[in-house]
Amino acid sequence: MPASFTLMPTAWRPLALSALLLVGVTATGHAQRALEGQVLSLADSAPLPQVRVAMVGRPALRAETDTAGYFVLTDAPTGAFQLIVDRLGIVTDTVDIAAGVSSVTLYVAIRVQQLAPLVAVARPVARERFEELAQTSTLSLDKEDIDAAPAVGEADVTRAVQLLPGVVAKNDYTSALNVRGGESDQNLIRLNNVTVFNPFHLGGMFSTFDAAAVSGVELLTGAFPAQYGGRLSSVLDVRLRTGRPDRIGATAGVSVLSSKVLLEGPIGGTGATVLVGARRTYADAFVKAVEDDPFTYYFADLVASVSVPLPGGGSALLTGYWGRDVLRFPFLDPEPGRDGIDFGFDWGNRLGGLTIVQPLSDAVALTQTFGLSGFSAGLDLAPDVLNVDNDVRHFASQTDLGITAGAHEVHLGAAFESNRITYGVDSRALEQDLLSLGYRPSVLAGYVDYAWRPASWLILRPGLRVEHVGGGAAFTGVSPRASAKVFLSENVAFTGSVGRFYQPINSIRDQELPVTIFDFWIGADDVTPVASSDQGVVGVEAWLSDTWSMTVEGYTKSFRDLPVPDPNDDPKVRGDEFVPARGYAWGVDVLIRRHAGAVNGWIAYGYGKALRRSRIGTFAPAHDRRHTLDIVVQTPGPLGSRMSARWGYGSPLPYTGVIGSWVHRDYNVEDHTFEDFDTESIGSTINAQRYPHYSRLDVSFRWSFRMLGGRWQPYLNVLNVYNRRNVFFYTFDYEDVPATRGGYSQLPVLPTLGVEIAW
Amino acid sequence: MVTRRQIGACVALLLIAQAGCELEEVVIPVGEPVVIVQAVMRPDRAQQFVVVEWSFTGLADPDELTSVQVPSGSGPHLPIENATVRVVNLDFPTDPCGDTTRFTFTTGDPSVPKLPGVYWAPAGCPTLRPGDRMALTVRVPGGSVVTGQTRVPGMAGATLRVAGQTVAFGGPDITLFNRDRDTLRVDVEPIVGRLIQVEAKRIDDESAAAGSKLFADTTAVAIPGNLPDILPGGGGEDIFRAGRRYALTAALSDTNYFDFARSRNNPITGRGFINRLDGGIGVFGSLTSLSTVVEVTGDFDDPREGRYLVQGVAAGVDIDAELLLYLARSIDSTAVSGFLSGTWMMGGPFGPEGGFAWVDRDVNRLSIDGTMQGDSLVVLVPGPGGMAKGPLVVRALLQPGGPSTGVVIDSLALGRTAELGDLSFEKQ
Repeated sequence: MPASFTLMPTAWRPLALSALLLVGVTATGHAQRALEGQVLSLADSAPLPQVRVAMVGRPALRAETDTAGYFVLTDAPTGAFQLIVDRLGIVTDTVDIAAGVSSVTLYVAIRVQQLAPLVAVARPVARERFEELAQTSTLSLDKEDIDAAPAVGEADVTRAVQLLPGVVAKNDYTSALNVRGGESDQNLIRLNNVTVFNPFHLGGMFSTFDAAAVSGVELLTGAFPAQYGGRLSSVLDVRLRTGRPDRIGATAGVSVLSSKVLLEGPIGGTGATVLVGARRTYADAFVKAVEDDPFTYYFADLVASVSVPLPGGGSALLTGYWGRDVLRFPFLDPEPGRDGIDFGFDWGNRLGGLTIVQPLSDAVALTQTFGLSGFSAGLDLAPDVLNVDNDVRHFASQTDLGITAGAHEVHLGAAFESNRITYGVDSRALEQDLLSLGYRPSVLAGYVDYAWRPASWLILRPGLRVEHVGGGAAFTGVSPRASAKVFLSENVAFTGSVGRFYQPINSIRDQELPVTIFDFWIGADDVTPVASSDQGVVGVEAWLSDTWSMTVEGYTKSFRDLPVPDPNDDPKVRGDEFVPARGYAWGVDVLIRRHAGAVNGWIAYGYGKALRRSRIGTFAPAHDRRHTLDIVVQTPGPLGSRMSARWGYGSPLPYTGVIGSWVHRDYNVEDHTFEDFDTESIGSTINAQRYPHYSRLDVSFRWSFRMLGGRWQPYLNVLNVYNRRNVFFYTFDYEDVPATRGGYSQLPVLPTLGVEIAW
Repeated sequence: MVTRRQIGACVALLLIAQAGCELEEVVIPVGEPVVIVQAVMRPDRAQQFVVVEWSFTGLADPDELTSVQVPSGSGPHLPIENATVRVVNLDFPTDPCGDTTRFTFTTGDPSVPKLPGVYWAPAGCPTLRPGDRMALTVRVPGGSVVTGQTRVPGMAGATLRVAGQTVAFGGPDITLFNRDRDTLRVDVEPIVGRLIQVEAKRIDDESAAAGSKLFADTTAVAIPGNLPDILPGGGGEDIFRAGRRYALTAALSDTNYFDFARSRNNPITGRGFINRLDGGIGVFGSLTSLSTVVEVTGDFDDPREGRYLVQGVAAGVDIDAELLLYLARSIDSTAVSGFLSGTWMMGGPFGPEGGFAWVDRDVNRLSIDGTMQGDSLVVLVPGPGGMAKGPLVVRALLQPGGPSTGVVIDSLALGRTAELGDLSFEKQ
């Protein structure tokens, strides 16, 4: 039975609810502010980039200076507080910020390296988090880390995240993340608090986030707190930079992949800032210049953020994103007297978000988030032969009331989420409506997250999230969450977290394929269950010195009602698109990291095991990698460069072997005969085979100098330095005698270069 | 049929092909043999058959094996011989064909080819009534058993609507339509069944292979006259060309055939085909059909296209005919087709002295083929035995805006004079 949509009699409700929430915000008091500033060298007033600025006692409130030394803290309290300023190479300092001040200039002393033992030692953000936060499985990368990670063409946010422990990348061609045995659709990926669907270009080869516009990312690899819902495995928070407050600035970049430009600056004298970035690949233009090839592929994206200080110390952050991949080529050439048929496929995201932080007093703050996010894809054989449409529309709002009182910090919140997912396949030429499918799950949630430090050696963080899924599902789930941290000393702590998680929308794309263009999202309804997961994490975190840390965490996860695609689904039957599966995962992640110093980086090791059970059978998912090791080093390099090197190893991943092939014949009705049509592989037991081991060494060099009034940063990336032929996938030929196996490798040795110029 | 996943997979593979580096081929062990069974029961046909073969495992090179239509041309690549093949009508215990219909290598009917791996039922058996459940059992030497079931479809009728006419399938009518303007609409009235398969196959040329196929998961489908065949095997050629006559077949199938036709195994995962057999791979489906004939005309878009009066004397025969000439809107735009009507010629019977004579022949919209290189036209006019049996060749140089001349040639001259006479071409 084809699914159909009812019109939206309740379509206004999300907007109305948001409006009410917004009224609630504006009707309450104002007690937070945006604090902007610039960090300069005490000796020569030179701007200092990549300096970490954080609030003492509240490490989550932090920022990092950009290349011009500027930073913005969007939700700083209105009252007086202290900022700690640190970075390798400067003298760490603590600065008093008076009440009501919205802009500061901080001068810090340059630290002479040889005198390092005699001066104050930098305190990384991770150290602040270690001391203040009871939350396992939290990893962060700042802009410096992202820029330094070698990537194809240019820095890539999710490629950098793939180097963290607990994360498995199935191959070089996908930026998708499989976190601690979870599927790639189980990651809540957010850009400035707004959910992003399918955040990839070129079938997952590149992430949609332009690294030049990103200030940092935070990855929660499991058992995340009660503020987060809707996904089972991880939360990836991508934070955009805010524009510089002092003057107009511009950054341009050219790489083998794309050209991009980024503009930023203040908006009049309002205190508001804006940042706008645009990027486009030009491989299609290059190909057209070299030869007359009508094949077209490109992607483009546009990102913007506007930071506005609000009266009373509050702040508002507006975010926008648009991205599109376009693939076109002639499917059938035109001939005299006949039009051609063109193949067109385009897909992409768009989103808009607003985050308002409003202090109600020194101890109370209200954070309001609204987000509209969409993904659409269209495939057509034009004109009118075939048209395939997929549209995902997501609206979310969340209200968080944060109350701090001594050793207690409570967050109370409510969230509403509306989703509209449609699929349509039709042929106007054949007058056929081939598929019409839709899902409309909505989620209403409330939560409490309570952090309590009853003693200096103990932090407890219980939480509870209650979610009701509407839109046909009529599901109510209660998700208890709890974390604890026990300090054995000031440098060593045991941590633990447990929680239950629900996911009302899931992707039913074939997770076993090495690359897919995008996820096919379906939502919970009367026939589609809400997926769920129970998770537990225990670990130990130790700071071996001021800059060296080590984290060891063990985890276990169970999954229920995961949707595994059902190859036998009938387009006229709703609910048979998937087979519900159970899943299990457990493992150990180790992260040894040097946070600062001329030579810094990390060693990330993950041991994991994952399993799925459904009526298809019991099998290892395609990302079931037993051992994953990434060694990332950033160090001074030759010719005055900053060098990064990454060596990655992955133990064999599973794949489905092929045991033969058969002739799938075409049947001729008129003749009552079969004829040879296609020879198809016959798969064996699902994922019972394993590819060979994987390893890859990448290096990256980045130089920085001033020229023509700008700061130039040319860079050179060399991927797969020793040109290892890591297997991408195999092909089998059983029609040869003897039978043979071929296949395709992943990225070969690949040097790419580019330059970024900032004015 | 196109599914969401197939679309995604196709595009992904396209991109993969751009990106990857090929790995060196290595020899692998022989695969595991699987029994492949393919059978479509046809209540509208007297003779049912089942194809039984082995999958490819690296033991035999199919390039060295026959690869054509089964069973009209040959058997399958790796036939399984001496299998026991039985079909039972589960809903007709008193089937006059017996409890079980056994399919055998030979039926005793000389018109039924003996082909290894092809098993035939006795004519008219088993009984196939709409809605009946049929059960197949194939037991191959060595013990493997393949089973499957199908529910026989049935339709009360099918109609074709085109150019203001409504024609019932199965009747004698020939429906004329203009491929450049008209859309054919096929409606099937099902009793029981799932998929419509519409097939268009040229009927004037016995050498024509499979026709174009369209599938629809509904009871009605429209076919624009100028639609190219974009399905695999269609090659982008037009489904209908002006100047040709087609058998248009509307078929209604069961769900097994529907799944067989719509699904394919992914080349990477080896999964995706919806297999409704147990113990083997393939299809045991059923399908019923009705046919009608359509005759295709078109607009004259090219100045060389049009209506020509062809006159002359060839081998003593007065020729006075009209030629409707169309250029193909296909990948090979030099191809022409058309209809020839009027007085034409053919080889007559041998006379009492054994001589060969040419006699006149009345033709009515005889479908012809040819090529047009610039203004140079070559047309093949089939004889009464069809295109394969000694077509006459007409060569002409068409002068734009003026009278043109040509010559008719005996393609099987066999030592006799090939040129039979001169013709004049006058565009009307």
